[in-house]
Amino acid sequence: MEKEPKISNALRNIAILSDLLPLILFLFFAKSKKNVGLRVAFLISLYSIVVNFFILSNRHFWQYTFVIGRFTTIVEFSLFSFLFYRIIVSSYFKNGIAIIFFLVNTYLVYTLITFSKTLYDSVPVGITAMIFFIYCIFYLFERVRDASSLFLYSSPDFWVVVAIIIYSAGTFFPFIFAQSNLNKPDFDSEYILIHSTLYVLKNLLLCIAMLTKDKTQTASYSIPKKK
Amino acid sequence: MFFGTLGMLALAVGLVIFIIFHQRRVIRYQLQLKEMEEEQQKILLNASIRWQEEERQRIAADLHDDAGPLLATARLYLNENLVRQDVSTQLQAIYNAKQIIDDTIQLIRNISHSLMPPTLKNFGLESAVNDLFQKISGSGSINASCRFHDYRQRLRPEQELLVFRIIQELVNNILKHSNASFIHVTQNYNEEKFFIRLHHDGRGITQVDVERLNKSALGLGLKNIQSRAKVLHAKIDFEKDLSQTYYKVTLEVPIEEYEMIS
Repeated sequence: MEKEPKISNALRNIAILSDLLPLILFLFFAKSKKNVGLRVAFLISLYSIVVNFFILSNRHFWQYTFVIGRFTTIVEFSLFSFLFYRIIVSSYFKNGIAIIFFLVNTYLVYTLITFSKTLYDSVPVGITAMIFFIYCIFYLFERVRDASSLFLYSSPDFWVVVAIIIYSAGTFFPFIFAQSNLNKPDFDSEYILIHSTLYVLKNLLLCIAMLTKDKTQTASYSIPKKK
Repeated sequence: MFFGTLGMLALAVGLVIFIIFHQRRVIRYQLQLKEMEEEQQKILLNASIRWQEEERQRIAADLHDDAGPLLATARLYLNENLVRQDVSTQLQAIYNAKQIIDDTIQLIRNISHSLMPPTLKNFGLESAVNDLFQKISGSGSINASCRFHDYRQRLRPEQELLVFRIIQELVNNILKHSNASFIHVTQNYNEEKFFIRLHHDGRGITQVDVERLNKSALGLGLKNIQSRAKVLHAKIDFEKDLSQTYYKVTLEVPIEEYEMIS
């Protein structure tokens, strides 16, 4: 019985430490530092490190864990919305992103202010996860439809989007069930197992993005567009 | 929760893998398309070079076999011994030499006209095609007619020459291979395109035959037609008429390329 919390703690610590990897890679080894995807990934990692290493390590802030979590949702949603706004080409979808950003952020701020400080709120996290999932699908299909964008996986943006889609898809159900089950020990260990594994996987994918040189080339041949 | 998470993960990973494989397929398809286009360009370039060489050989042969002997004969009449001849012989020799030089001038004029028809240069495509068809009809072997419905505004001279060469080559092919009893050319244009349509009742070819010939070393004239159409950014279609009685060739020159001279 004692082994489980040890494994959970180890996983959690590995997940927290894994945030350092993309950060270090961005600062010292990133091939395309001006890339918007990498900058967003760097800011997310930096924010997570500040929260995990400097705020949540202090016992006085433990009572605000859920509030910090909700604030993290706002930060992540804002940064990822900015990323998709920049990398998606369709102007209609860009307008949609701007409108969704305004509406959802208003709701997120509202829940941050009004919701109980001692309860986990699944709704905002679930909503943002679904929105990210839709954005990712749209981005990927847009890239596929564009005949001139070859070598998709040579772009850091692609790996950042893959990290987001896998993390959003994988953590969707744990986040949804967390509100009503977080106090149950079985759920807690399962939640930590899934969340930490996906968190590490997300950071590893961000590391691939950091090491990818932006070689996105325009095809020398493209199918003529119909007028 | 565990299975739901697995399902969502499978969906996300499956989607990413699908996108990557689809991309690879698209890349492969694009490369194939590019290779095919390059191959086609190479064939057209080869055809164009061969045609130029044949044309040079024809001109060289005309000059060497016709103009050369004529001038040599004229030179014979005008040799040094002529001054020792009596006056009437001298006059006869000069007259003969003059005749031969006139023939040579006519011959060179014909060669020059075959390179650039003066009617086309001076009076435009309509007159040049009319002229060509009158000559063909005049031979009596085939009934050739043409009708320009709307040619108040002319194409640019280089475009007219290209269109004329295409018509000339098509007519040549019909005379050589089709055994037709008539050829009829019509011209028209709408807001977007300039059209030339050529009908004949002989043995013709369709687009399928054109594509087959494109892949082979045969059909030099046809490849020339296509390379000229390419320069014009024009589309050329070979088809059998709906009535299945006539063969039809349609040349469509886009209007933006159709810079008109009032």
